[in-house]
Amino acid sequence: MTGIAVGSVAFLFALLLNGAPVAFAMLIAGAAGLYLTGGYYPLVGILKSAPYEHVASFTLTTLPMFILMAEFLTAGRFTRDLFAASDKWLGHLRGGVAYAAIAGGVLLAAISGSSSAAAGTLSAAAYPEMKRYGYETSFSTAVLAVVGTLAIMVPPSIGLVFYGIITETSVGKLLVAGFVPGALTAIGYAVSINIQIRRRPEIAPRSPERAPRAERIASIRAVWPVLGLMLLIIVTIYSGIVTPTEIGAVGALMALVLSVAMGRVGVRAILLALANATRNSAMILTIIACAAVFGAFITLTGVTQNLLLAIQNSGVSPYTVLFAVLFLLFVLGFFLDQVAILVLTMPLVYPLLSGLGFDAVWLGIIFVKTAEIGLITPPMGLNVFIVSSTTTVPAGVIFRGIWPFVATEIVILLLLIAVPGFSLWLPELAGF
Amino acid sequence: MSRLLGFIDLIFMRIAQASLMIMMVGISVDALGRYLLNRPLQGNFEFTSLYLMVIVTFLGMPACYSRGGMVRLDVLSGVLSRLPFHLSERVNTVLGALVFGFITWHAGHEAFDKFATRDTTFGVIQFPLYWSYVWVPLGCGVMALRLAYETVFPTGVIRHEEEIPA
Repeated sequence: MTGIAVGSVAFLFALLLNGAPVAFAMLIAGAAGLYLTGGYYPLVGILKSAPYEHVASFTLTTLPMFILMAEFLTAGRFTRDLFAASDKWLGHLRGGVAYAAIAGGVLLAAISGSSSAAAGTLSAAAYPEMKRYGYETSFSTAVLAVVGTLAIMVPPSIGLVFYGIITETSVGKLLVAGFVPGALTAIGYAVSINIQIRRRPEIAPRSPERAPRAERIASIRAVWPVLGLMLLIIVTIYSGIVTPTEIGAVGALMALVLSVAMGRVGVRAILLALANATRNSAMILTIIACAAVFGAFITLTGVTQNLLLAIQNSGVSPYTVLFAVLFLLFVLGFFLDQVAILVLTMPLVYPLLSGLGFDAVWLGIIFVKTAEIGLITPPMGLNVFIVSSTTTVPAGVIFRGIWPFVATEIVILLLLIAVPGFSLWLPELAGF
Repeated sequence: MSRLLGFIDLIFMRIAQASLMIMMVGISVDALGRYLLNRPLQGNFEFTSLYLMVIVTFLGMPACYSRGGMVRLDVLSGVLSRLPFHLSERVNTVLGALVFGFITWHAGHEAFDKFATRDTTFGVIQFPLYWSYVWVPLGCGVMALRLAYETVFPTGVIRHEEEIPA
């Protein structure tokens, strides 16, 4: 059995390296493994039922609903206004546009779980400002690539929802658990910017004049409906009054109503947002449907139990296993999307580590955090390429400025590992 | 053939988009009705999970693939594109076509059986299930046809994301 499992995993990686879509590679390798393990009838039984049963889920609607909400808010140009408001309040500080990008990133992250949408919007809005005030190109674009990653951790996070669904961990608890690590990440980025500016003042030489009080207040007026929506999401998720699924749908509806009522979108913009949300949802749901086949195969082989037993018998520390897994996720992050990393590794890794006694919510936070680092590391750092395409700055230049932030990310990750309370305190306080 | 597949993709995508919109309205009305008026939307849970989610996934899948929306690893794409006869691409598409064709055949049979028995959920409200089994063979069938077509006529490029026209 273990030989078939190893062979099928090798076949999976061969397909991935051959450029097959992740979903299809998991389906093909899973089907081959099922046939070799159980023969024809188990293969038929699982192929005709598992993909259907895994997506025919009410809990899973959380993903398309949060994606739809983010698309409507982006279509309504609210995301750009959030940066503009942050800039009015923080722009006058040394490196103020960079801090404003961080603040804008946090606000964006609180209404959208999409990292790429945040990176794209912020870079379009903030890069011209940074260029105008003489910010070094690699520094300014690296900041913009990095702030997009906040959406992965700050609730409502698609990454955490996805982890919750595939590991059957409470999505509400995970979202509440993401508050403190998200805030910690934002503070870490601000500290990193501050240190870099102190060491090399030439990277952020000038700042705009402080905006008059009237302008600052006016900037808040432009975004108050979004801030209200953000507050509603945070309060309802924290209090557990409504489920994340319901708040996703109500949030998407409110985003649409706000955008239409404030005259910010036409029919064409709504249809385009709907098309983008449907495509992204279909992509993620297809991965889940196809991963169900691979997951069934892994379960059938019993390889997780064998591995768990072998580790327990060998006397290896659970933390050694945890760090080995995190290293694997970190390396995969160089090449793969976060959703793909989670879906590829969780069928094997999650039962293994929860079997070793680690808390499921804490694991979710550090897994998603580790996978998040891959958004900014070469050669496949998605956010870097998004910022590159928006700003026309070559990706190589952005990667040059990214390393201090990667170091910051690793420090934050180590903190989250060393102090589980950062992730678990708030859910306990909220009574989850 | 390519144009026909493109047309089917578009029709499926429109149905998936409409389903997503209905999902948003349905869940919102259900939630607001339950919390504000103590009147939930009967059957919304079943309709959303058994129909709308399945439609968004399986009818959205072919268009998502054909427009390059699928996540893939392309670190070796430069090397692989130099292989003769589009070998790399053909291996992916032929294996995909076989597995999706296999699912279409068996899921199609299952849908037929469910229709024959007019399958419903258990409980006070017997929600019809049989229509919800149609979408898997439909989506997988179009996917299998698209992959088979690309095995014969490879596109020659690894697709990257394109914007879907509204």
